[in-house]
Amino acid sequence: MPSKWTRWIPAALVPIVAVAGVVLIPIAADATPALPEKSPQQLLEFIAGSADAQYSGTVEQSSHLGLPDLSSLGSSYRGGAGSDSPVSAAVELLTGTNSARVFVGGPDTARIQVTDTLAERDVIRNGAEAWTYDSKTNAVQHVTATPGTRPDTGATRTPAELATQFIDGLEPSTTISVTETARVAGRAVYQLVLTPDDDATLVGSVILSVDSETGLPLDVRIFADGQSDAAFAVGFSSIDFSAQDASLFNFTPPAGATVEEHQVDGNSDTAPDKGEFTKPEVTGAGWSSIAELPAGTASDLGDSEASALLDQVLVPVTGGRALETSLVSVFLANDGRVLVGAVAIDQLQAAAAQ
Amino acid sequence: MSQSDTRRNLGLALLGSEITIVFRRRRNQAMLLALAAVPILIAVAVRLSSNTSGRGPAFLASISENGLFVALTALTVSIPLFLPLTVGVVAGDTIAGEANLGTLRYLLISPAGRLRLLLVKYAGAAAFCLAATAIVVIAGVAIGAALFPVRPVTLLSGDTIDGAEYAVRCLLLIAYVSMSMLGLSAIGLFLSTLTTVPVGAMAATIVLSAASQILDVLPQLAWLHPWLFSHYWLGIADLLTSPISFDSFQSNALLQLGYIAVFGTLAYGRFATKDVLS
Amino acid sequence: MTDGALAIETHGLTKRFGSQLAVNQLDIAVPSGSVFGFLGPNGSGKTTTIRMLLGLASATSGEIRMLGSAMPQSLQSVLPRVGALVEGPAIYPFLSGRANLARLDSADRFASSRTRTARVDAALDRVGLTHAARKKAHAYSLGMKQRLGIANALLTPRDLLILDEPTNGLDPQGTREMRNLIRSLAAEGTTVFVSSHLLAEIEQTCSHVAVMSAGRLVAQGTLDDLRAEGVTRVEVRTPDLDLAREVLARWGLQSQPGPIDSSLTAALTTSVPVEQLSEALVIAGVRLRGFTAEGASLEDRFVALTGEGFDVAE
Repeated sequence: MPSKWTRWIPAALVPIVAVAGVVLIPIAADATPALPEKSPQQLLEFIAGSADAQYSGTVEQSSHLGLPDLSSLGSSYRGGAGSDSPVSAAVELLTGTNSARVFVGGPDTARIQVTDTLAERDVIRNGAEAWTYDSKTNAVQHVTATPGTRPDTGATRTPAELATQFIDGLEPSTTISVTETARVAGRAVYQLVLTPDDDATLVGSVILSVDSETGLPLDVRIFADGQSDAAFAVGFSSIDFSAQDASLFNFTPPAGATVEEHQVDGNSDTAPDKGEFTKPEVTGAGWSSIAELPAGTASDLGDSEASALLDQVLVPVTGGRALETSLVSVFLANDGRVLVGAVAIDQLQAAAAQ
Repeated sequence: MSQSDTRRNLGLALLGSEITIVFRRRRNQAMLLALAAVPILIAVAVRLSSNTSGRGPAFLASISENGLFVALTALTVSIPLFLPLTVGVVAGDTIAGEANLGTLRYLLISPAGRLRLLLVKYAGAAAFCLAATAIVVIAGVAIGAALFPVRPVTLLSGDTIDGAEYAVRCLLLIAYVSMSMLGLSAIGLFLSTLTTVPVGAMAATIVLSAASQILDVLPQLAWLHPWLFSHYWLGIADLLTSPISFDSFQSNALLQLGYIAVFGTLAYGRFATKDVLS
Repeated sequence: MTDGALAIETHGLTKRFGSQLAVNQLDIAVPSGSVFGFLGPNGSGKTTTIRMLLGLASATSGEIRMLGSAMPQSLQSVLPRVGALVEGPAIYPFLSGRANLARLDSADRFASSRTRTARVDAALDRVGLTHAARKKAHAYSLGMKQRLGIANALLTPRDLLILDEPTNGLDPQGTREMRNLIRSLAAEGTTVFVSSHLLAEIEQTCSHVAVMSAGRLVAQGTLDDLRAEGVTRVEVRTPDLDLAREVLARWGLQSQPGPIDSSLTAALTTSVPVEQLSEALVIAGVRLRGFTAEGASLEDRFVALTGEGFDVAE
């Protein structure tokens, strides 16, 4: 039968069409949309004016810090309470890719849903009230802020003032520029680039993508010196600017859940404070600042799981143990002090020696 | 001429016959019963054990508080192994099973038409996917209601829904999970055209489903993960949040469609050019 | 269907499996209304030919026409008019005999679902399986399975039946019923194409024969033609021995003294038509007491054509 081979044509065409679809559709969308030009100052004002926006979307966070992979250790599959320890939570954040659904209904109503495999953690803020819910433990935390005592930061300032303040804060150590436009979550964005002038820091640059219509920052990427992939990135993979249903932010604890009540002074953050951390001592300035936590901090971190995790990532160096990533270094001195900074290890060692 | 009084009909009779055969086979009935046993065993085990706060899948502890979670737990337990196993058996059997019995040649000279036979066989396998998923959910809902208190259901987000909405979500779960198995079925169909030994095609299909799931947890292969047909299998959590998210549903549908297209056309290429010698 | 039309016609039909030629340049012509015996030892390419006729296997080269249409292009419109039994029956062991037939019938888009039950019952009745119709087919004996396979070929009225080794597994009673069935089908005007390695079966039912050996066609024609071609020796009984010897010599035949005094025998080296030979003897004035054309039996003929005969060909 001479036409025999023609029966294979569909099988040959389908992968071609599929690959073409996957490759070409993103290309077809203009990668650098034409937008009216904005100066860094204008762009920052634009951002400050977006505080009232209502939207929902999916946020993806990923890290490429050059850490060994610890997902098997920090796995969210384990039911025990140990996986909720701050260290493993940090490891989860620093090594993998995480995603969350975000719903924002205005400046003080928001809901964040972090999804794991068949589990979810919710944080809901509705004005002076906040809730957290963890489906694994069926535990609810309810935080109420004492009304009235909250200082109204920001509201009295205009976006222009905020922008100026931000630039003034960064200007001495940073070059701020606006580069070519791009697309994030299918939307045209401006890109604001912060480049540290300081050579000592590991941070190469920070790129902030700003939605061209609403001024909402859609994506932040931090690049380590000399790296082409972002060491740390958090941004929307999809976003929808439509008004949010108010019922989304009204949380009622489900039957059978354990509810923990917290009263918080309006002056502090809405999130409940978990422990009393000593305020770190900061040396240096700008991008190469080093934070130093006093002796004893390192041992506080620790249940057995946490120390197992730490053993995995820490490398012995002169005077202690260290964790070096492409962006941040941590130095655990033998005397128990912990030094952290976006600088190389030797600078932390030097600071510790002082 | 003998055909003057009969007209060519749509040929739905073959589809009906195929579905009847799929569900009348003892082996397939046994597999469906085994799937129904999954929620029953889980529910009974939880009922009998006083300590329900033990380790296990996230939902196990919730069962004793709310019977409606039995279905969900059973589904979660079945997705990685039992469902692909049974679907692999049915999909791997499609063409190879007929070839092995020798009935393939009689179907073809009936004539069934090779493309039509392939479509009907796939439809039969798809019907089994739907039945297999549905039986887990339905048996789970039933045994859960029988052994445990039934309350309004708490979603993963902590919000509570009523019975009617729970029914809707159960239907969505069935739709999602049976759709998840369609790509695997297409692979099984293709493998089934390669051999006249059904057990070979079944085993290969099941091995592939296991391989895909193993690759999906290797972090070194993160770039490959979104292309693996099992990648969204456990994405059912999306249907249990509030507000409901169809992201996984959509991505999964697109992915499964891709697998159906690729392996469906491969199966056609192979089957339409194959010499049926058994 | 007009007389003289061909139900099956192949030209240069060839099937190659790798380096092996299973069917080599086959030209067969099956007249409509005939009962056509397709004879050959096991492995001679009969079943492969049938597979190509039915579109189960594709030909490496060559042409096929069946019921007037080119194959395999017209498979879908021709096959509903063709009933077939290929390389033994095949059953769904978990279905009853009746359900087996209904299943295969549903694959035919020309077969009406309304008349299915009636047609299935009629087919079962025709092969004498009515009493076992409800039994699961895995409990069937080999002969019952064979009958079920025949019933499948008879589900709708057919113009052509292709039966591959139809008497396999049948007891003598069943074999006779099969012969009667083939005769009655032929009487209804159905062309029947029967393959077999059993000569006796072909000899008793067929009007036409084709013989295959090692993938090639070695003889084709009516059964009478084949018989005639099989004559190898004549015996002449006459008082006029010298005259007879002279006439035979004229036809190029060497004669020897026969078994009795006044007789001669001669081996037929070439294909001399026996009837012309007898005519020539009479015209020459040979007074004949007897003239016998001694055939090698059809069986000898078959063995002669197919070489080693019934051994499975390589």
